[in-house]
This record gives sequence, structure tokens and C-alpha cells, in this order.
Amino acid sequence: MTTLVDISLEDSISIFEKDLNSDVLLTWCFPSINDQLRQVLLNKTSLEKEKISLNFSFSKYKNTWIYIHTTSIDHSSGTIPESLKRVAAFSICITRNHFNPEKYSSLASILSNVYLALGDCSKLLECQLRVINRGQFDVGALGKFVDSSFDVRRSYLATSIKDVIRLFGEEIILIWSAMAMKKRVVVYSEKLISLLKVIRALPLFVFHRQNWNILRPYVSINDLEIKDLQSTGIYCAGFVDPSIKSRDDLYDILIDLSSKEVSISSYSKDQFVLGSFHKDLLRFMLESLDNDEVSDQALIKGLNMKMKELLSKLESLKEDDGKITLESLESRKLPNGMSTFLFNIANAEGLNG
Amino acid sequence: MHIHLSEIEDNTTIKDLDTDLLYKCILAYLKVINENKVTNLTSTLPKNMSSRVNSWSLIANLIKDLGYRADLSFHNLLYPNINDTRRILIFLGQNLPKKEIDQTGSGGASTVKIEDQICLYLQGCIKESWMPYFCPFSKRVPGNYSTARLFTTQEVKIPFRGRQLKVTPGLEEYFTHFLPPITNQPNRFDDLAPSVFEYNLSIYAEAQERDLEWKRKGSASGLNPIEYKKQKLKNVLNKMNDSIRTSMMESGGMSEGSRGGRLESLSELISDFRGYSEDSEGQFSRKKDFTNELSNQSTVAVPAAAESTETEEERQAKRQAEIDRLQEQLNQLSQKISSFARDMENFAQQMRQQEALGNEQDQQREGLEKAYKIKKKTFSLLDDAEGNTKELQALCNQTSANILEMSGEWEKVRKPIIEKYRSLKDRANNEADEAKSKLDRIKEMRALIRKLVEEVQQKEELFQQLQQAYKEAPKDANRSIYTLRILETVKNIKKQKVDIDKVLLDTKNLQKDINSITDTAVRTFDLVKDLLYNDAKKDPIAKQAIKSFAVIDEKFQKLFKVIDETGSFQNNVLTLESKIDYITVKTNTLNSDRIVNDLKNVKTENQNLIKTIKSKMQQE
Repeated sequence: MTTLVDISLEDSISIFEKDLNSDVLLTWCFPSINDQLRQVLLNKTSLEKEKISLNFSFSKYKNTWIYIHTTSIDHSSGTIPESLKRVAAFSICITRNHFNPEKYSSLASILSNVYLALGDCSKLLECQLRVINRGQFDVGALGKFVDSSFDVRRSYLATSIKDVIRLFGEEIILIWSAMAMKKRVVVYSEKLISLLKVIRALPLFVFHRQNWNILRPYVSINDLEIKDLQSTGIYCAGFVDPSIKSRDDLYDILIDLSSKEVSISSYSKDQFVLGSFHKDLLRFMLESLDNDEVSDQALIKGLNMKMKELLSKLESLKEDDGKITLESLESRKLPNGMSTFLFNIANAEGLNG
Repeated sequence: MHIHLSEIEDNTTIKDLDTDLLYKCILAYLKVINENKVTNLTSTLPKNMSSRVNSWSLIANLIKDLGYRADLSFHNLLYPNINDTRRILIFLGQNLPKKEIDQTGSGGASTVKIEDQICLYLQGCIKESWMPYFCPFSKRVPGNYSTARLFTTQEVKIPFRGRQLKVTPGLEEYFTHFLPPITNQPNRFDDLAPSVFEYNLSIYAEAQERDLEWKRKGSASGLNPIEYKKQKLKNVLNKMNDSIRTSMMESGGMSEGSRGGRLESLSELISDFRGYSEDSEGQFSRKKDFTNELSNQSTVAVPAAAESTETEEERQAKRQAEIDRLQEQLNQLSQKISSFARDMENFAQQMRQQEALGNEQDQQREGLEKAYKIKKKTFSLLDDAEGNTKELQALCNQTSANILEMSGEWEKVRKPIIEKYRSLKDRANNEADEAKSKLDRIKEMRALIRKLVEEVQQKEELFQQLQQAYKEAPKDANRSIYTLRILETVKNIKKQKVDIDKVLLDTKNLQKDINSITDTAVRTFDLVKDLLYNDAKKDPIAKQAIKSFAVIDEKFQKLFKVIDETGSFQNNVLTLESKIDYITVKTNTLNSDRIVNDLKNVKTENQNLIKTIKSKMQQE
């Protein structure tokens, strides 16, 4: 029954092919995709670029998760099916409405194998239908897929939170604040693969929300996607285009993986005043780094605990009408900057109703 | 000046200028140039030979001082030849002060050589360099401000036809009803010509540049000219946007608040500038208001001042108080503004978060709705769970099979279509390649055409030059005369050739004779020597003979030498003679008779002088 809830009509598989004339074409799709989505998919496949990226990538547009597996065809081997004779590379794009890169990476690579071996789209369709109906299929030597063997919780924890903390050191507290206060976060990296690896770990800092839907792991700069991004409100968006650095209207905080720097946009500076609470939290994070006995899960749990403490404290600060205002916080003579932080947290957690 | 002109009127050419007249001319020039230096010269050339020479050498020095570069001394002037005279007069003319030219030019009475004056003036103008109006005046043509002119240009608008007229609404109406005639467009009437020139030049240059670019890059891009232009415009705009954005980024940290780093495109920047200008207008009006107020105040203040009893310090204190008050107000206001800005930012933040929440909940709702529908359906089927499950499974299988079948059918259609598309694309690519190669050929041909055109132009120029030369060549010369002359010459040459042959033959014979004679002489000499030596052993007379023989030989050698020398001297004499001839010819152009005459005069004068000196000495 669970699979049925997850599957919707928008779940589709599509194939983009780049032929020997460097012409990229949507050659097959089931059941259907709209024009916008097709354009976004095309941007993500990297087929139109000179250098085709063969890494598995995942991204999100509107409410659709996009999983892409690209295969290049080696024409020197003689076992290519007739229909792929003129194709240089193809991308299998899977769109789903939930986050699970591991599952769909596996599915996409099996489908790629099938398509490369047979060149027959109806075979892919069969696989797709089997997944929907039975949650599994087996195509012998080409691979075996079992839907239930991929737990989403494992996907959540796929990247070690400790690695991310280690990567940024003390600046990790800025990232934590941004996530806790629900700010707009932009991650930039030259390499897609490291971008995806880091960005999927960011929601771990606010595990109590269990919300991976704020991720936009891989966004290209074009009107379509930027517009979608802006309409989302808050997000964690990943970019590989360096011109994002100059678009500080799009982020409150910019994480640059290439230079390992975190910068705050000029007009949100006063939102990021750090106090003793942050210091404690940072110490907690850095200490658990050095302690091998503290696992990722334990660290996440610890962060969760701290957050809960904070929230219960906030609960106690509520006014009589059940609201928390900046003025009321300021009147309690909290340390400098703390009132702003608490107010932001209260807003982010919806304590203000 | 006038003297010289009136004198010249009787003479038509420089050739007719004799030394007296030349003296007057040059003196007139020098007077105009620098009166002080010629005060000790008489107005006409003195008859006395030595004073003549004196005056002329004085003048020659003066002219040299003025900067005359060619060789010049008194004899060039005393015995004038045409070339020197012309050169000197032109030089003096160029050295005249400019005002003088204007006066004589406007005088108009002497129309004879007015063209010369125009030429001189224009020559002077060429030396001036034109400078744009914004150069400081002091840096322009040094020393010649009288003719310096501000050549300023203004943009002129000229109506045109074409696409733009159709595309831009109201342009035609503007042209027909509102655009002032071109003569009214520049602010100063003097600017009209330069403005039009510049407009013309800029259009021409632009067209040429565009043509060049089109030939170099444009035609290779495979677009038509209009598309190419559009693309270029887009590129330029993009580039500008990018650079503005990045520079805004760089300065974003420093510039305060809302302006920093928020500008995204050129148009925004421009509108921002516009905002500034509006602002400055506001400033201007405020200033106006301020001054009005001030004047009001001052009118009020005048009577107040009349009866004012307050001291300077009090006023100062009052002012200070007011300033403090205003400052406080200002501080309050700016505080308020910043707090509002912060609130706004907060609200924006909250709005974004709420939006995100809304989106999320929407999504959840969708999911829940679906789940609800499914669950509802499931409940309704729960009565006969097993049967229904089976039925559903069957239905699923059935549908899947159907879909698969259909997909198989679709594959049959899809594959050929894609195959066809690709082959068509292949063909198109091939055609594009072909087109490209054709384009390349066209380019080559264009280059060839250009080269040919250049060649044609060169040939045309040559043709014109030749035609000019042909026109200038004397027309009356008859062809047959030339032929005759040529024939005659040929005949002469033939004759001469025969003569030369004869002479050559003679020379050869002579050489032969000389050789044989020399041979016999040498042999005879050797023979005689041997004989004499043989005899010398027995005969003392023979010994004597050997001695005499040796002496004779020596003498002969000397003789030969002398003969050789004579020959070379004769050659020298010949060359010298030819040189003398040449020089005589050259000196004949000088008026040798006159020189002899003058020499005689000088001699008689000298004798007279000697006589007077002698008589004086005797008297003493």
C-alpha cells in the first residue's frame, strides 16, 4: 500500500538522446511531461554541453524530484542495438515526488543498462510498470531492483554530518543558524558531485523538521528555474554557475564549497548575530568531531535535543496572547542579538501561530 | 609694397626684372618686414659700383638673417637669374606679416598677383592645425591667434527613410512636423558646416566599418545581416549587464543600503540614474524654495535688524539651539527609517517562510487527498477483500499488458520517425557544410573582386595620368616627321657602324703589325746580344759594343716611357679642354659682357681714386 501512495501520475521516465550530430532530442517518455519540465530536464542532463557529465545527479523543480543517469555509448564495441547506432549519449530521467537518490540511482542505472543492451523502450516501460505494480523487477544479468530495499532514512543519512562540520570548521554555526532560522541558503561548487554530496546533508542540522523538500540540489541559472526558486520562498539551492555569487538577492547566506567560505548577504548581516547559545552549540559540534565514539546519529540527536531545549525555553517566553514579539523579547533584557535570533527561531518554528 | 607692385605692372615677367628694379622690390619687402634695418639703404640702387656691391651684400645678409636657406651673396642679386630671383621673392612674400596681406588683399587695387596672395594665405592656413573646441585656447596654433577659430560641431538630425521609420511609432510625424530644418539645428550658424561634415563622415565611417565587419565575421556566421545585428546588440547588452553587475558586486559592500549590489541590469541602472536626476531636480527645486524662503526671511529680517537689540552671541546661541534641535529630529527620523527597514526585512522573511509553509502544506494536502481517495476506494472494496484484490490484480495486469502492447505498436511508429528525423538532420548538416564551403568560396571571390577593383582603380589612375601626359604632349608634331627622323638616325647609325668596323679592322691590323714587329725586335735583340757576347770573349771592341748596346737599350726604354707619358698628358689635356668648354658654356649664361663692362668701370674708378689719392698726397 505504501508504494501506491508514493506513486502518482506525474511519475515519469524520459529519455534524452544526443546523436552524432550533437543534436539533443527527447526521444521517449512515459506517461508524459510538460514543456517546462522538459526544458528543465534538458538543462540538467548536460547533454547540450561540450563535456557530458556522466555522474548521477538529482535535482528538484517545483514539487518534482528529478533523477538523471547519463550514459555515453562506446561505438567501438559491436553490441549496440540498431536504434542506438547514431546516438552518442543518452540520459534516463526519472521524475518522482519524493527524495531518495539511492533508490533512483539504482533504478536509473538498471534502466540504462537495459536500454543500452536492447535499445527497446517498451522494455523500459515494462520495468516501470513492474515497479509500480509489484515494487520490484528482475532483468537477469542487467540488474535487479527491489523497491522496498531502499529506506528513505538511509538516504537522509547518506552524507556524514561530521564531514560537513569538518569541512567548514567554526563557520558551520552560520550554516546551522541559517537552517534553524529558515533562511535562504545557496551552495556553490565547481563540481556537481561534491555539491550534491554536501547539500543533501544540510537538512540534518534541523532534523526535527525532517524536511528534505526545501532542497533544490542543482539549479541552473535561467528564468524558468530562478522564478520557481523565488516562488518557493525558502530553500537550500545548489549552483555550479559562479555568477550566482553576484545574485545576492537570491540568498541570505552563500556557502562556497570551492573556497570553503560562508558569506552572509549584506542586508541580512544583523540577523546573524551570534551569542552564547551559538558558542555552546559550536563547541558541542566541534567536540563531537574529535570524539570517535559519537556517531553521526548521536550528533544529530544531540543537535535535536539542543533545539528542543531552545524551543521549550521559547515556549516559556510566550506572552499571554501566545505570541512572541521582538519587543517583548527585547524587554526581557536578553544579551545583544539573542532577541533577534529567538524571534527568528520563533517565526521559523511557527510559534507565532 | 605699392612701389614694387606699380613698378611690376609695366613688367610682365620675372625675367624682365633687372638689378635696379629687383633692388626696389626687395627693399620694399624688407621695409614692410622690418623698417629699422633698412634705414641706411638708399631708395634706389646707387650708380657707383662699389657702393652697389656694398648695398647688395647688406641686403643679402638681411635676407639670410630672415632665415633664407639657399646660397645667397651679392652677385646673385647684382646679376640676377630667374630662379634665384623667384625664390627670394617668394621667400620674402612668405615672411611678410599677416596683417599686411589682409590690407593688400582688401585694398584690391593691385589685382595682378592677387592669386599669389591667396596662395600664400592658404599656405599659412595649412600650417595651422585644427583642434577640437574643448582644447584649451592657449594650446592651439602657437603664435597665430588671429585666424584661430572654434570649429565646434553639434549633433544634427536628418530625416531618413527605411525600416526604422516603420518600426518606431510617431517618428514620421516627428520628422514632418517637429524636426527643425538643419540650418536651425546648430546653436551658432558657424557650426552648421562642420556639423554636417561630421554627420556625413560619421555615417560614412559607420557604414564602412559595418561593411568591413560583415565581410570579415558576419558572412561566416551564416545569419542574414539583420539577425546578425540583433545578435550583436544582444551580446553587447549582455556584456554590459554582466560588467555592471560584477562592478556593483565589488562596490556593493561599500555603498550603503538599498543601492548596493541590487542593480541587475543596464535598464535598471539607467532608471536608477534617472532617479538620481529626478532627485537632483528635486534638489534644485528645494534650493529654489530655500532661496525664496531666504529672501522672505531677509525681507522680514530687515525691519527686525533695524530694531534688533540682541547681540551676536545670543543669535549664535539661538542658531546652535536650532541646529541641535534639527539634528535630533534628523537622528530620530533616521532611526525610525532604519527600524522600519529592519521590520520590512523581517516581514519579507516571514512572508517567504509562510509561503514556503503554504507550498509545503499544499503539497501535503495533495498527497493526503490522493491517499484519502485511495483509502475511500479501498474501504468500499473491503467487503470482498480477496475477490476485489484478485480483480484489481487482474485489472492491473490487463492494463499493463494493454499498455505494453500499445507501447510495442508505438515503438514501431516512433523508431522510423526518429530515424527519419536523424537522417534529415544529417542531410541538413551536410547542406550546411556545403553552404559553408560555398560561403568560403564567395568570400574568396569577394577578396578577389576587391583586389581586382583595386587593380582597376590603379590602372584607371595610370590611364588618366597617361592621358594627361598625352594631352600635354605637343599635338602639332607630325608622325611622319618623327619617322623620317628616326629613319635618318638609323641610317646615320648604320654609317657610323660601318666606320667603326673599319676603324676596328685598322686597329686589329695595327695590333698585329705591332706584335710581329715587337717579336722580331725581341728576337733581333737576343740574337745581337748572343753574337756580341760570343765575340766579346775574343774582341775588346766587341766589349765596347756591348756597353754601347746596353746604353742604347736604356735610352730606348726611356724614350718609350716618355712617349707613354706624353700620351697620358694628351688625354688630360683633352679632358681639361672638355671641362673648360663646359664651364664656358655655363659662364656664357652669366652676362659676361656686363661683367667685363663693370670690371672696366671698376678699373677706371680705381684709377680715378688712385689719382685723387695721389693728388691729395701731393697736396699734403
